[in-house]
Amino acid sequence: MTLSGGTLAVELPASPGDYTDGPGNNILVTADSAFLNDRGTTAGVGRPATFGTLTMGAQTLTVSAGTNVTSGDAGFIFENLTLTGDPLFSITQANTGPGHLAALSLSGGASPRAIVKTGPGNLTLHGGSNELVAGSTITASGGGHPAAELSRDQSGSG
Amino acid sequence: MNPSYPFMGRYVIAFPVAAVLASSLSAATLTWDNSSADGLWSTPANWDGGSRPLATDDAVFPAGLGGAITLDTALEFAVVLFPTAKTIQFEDNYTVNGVSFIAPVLGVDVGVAGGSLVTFNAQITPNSTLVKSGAGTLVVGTGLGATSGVTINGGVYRANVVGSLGSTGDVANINSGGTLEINGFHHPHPINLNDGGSLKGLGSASTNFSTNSLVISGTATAVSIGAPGPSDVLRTDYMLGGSTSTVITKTGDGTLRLNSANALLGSWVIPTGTVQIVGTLRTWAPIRPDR
Repeated sequence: MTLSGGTLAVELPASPGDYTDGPGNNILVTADSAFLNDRGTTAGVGRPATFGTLTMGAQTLTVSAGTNVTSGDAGFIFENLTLTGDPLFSITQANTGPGHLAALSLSGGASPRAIVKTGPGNLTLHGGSNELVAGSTITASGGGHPAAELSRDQSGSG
Repeated sequence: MNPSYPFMGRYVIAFPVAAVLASSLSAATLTWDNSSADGLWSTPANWDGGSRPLATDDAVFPAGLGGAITLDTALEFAVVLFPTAKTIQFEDNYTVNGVSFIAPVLGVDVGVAGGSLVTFNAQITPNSTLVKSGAGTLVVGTGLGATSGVTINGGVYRANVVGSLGSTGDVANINSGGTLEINGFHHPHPINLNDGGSLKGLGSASTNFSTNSLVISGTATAVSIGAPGPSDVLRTDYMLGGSTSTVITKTGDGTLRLNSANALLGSWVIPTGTVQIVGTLRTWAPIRPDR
């Protein structure tokens, strides 16, 4: 699935959603785009949606929890995040439940990356054997719970 | 006693019989000129050949004229004759009202030239397949009569009401260059989306809630599905088909809801608007423990 300016939305009223086995498992972002995780018509606990890989460069990816998410984890979980540029993650919420983007492993490539997170939502990055190279930075603002579990020392702020 | 009446009677009767026989032997192209200005299909003077089209003829509504056409019946030999033609070609903007158009048993081809908009409010009874051709837009404002399906080979076929694409068992086929627009209703019958075809929902539109509602051809490499305006929503259930070579492009600023089930191969491109995955999907979403 290629996001080249549009929005991918999931609506998970009762259970977490797993989209790792089908044609929408891997997502390539080629222009500023958005994720939205919401419930149906009733407010309540948000549920995460798991996908395969996320690949993106120097784009802004807006990740939002919808208007009917009042708590829980209305996140987007990826098995791997591959960076080909310096991304900006704008993680927002429309109600009291925060948005969330998580990567279970990270492939930063050969160049140092400058990762920026804004907004009140959460960003969770796990490293791995191909994580960020030296000189990379992670800058978080806007609140939430930014978390990076990396094997190398990185420059971080926020 | 007036001896001219029998003579005149034979003359008046003989003329249309001769015309019918001549037209039956070879197909003719009859062009609408609306000479009488009454807008009636049945008026012979409104056609350049001086007779209305038969089931073997091609009817042409030319550029530079446009306007309203009323389909009406003619009475000949105590037989009610409905409007008919083998093909109808519109080359300008026209609105068609009135009684049913009865196509021959092989169906009818309705062509609309690029840039033209034709609104067909009279019922079309294709008898077999209704074929839409040409780059223009055909708006079908009533349910079709007996049909075995609609094939869209070019331009836009805008279905305005339930039945605009036929009834139970009828399939809408969207081929390369063709676009089907479902305008604000639930379409309960199957749709085949073939290579180069496009499906759009206007207002709040949806496709069949049972199996095989929307099938993408396994040989398709590029199709598009979408909702033009930001408030338009197209809901699809049981969309399936495609192949690993199929690219499905989401079009328009509106929302495409992939509802309940999805056994679709291929990849998606979302350049605009929203693709919304609702609930769990047959192939995409085998539920497993949360991570």
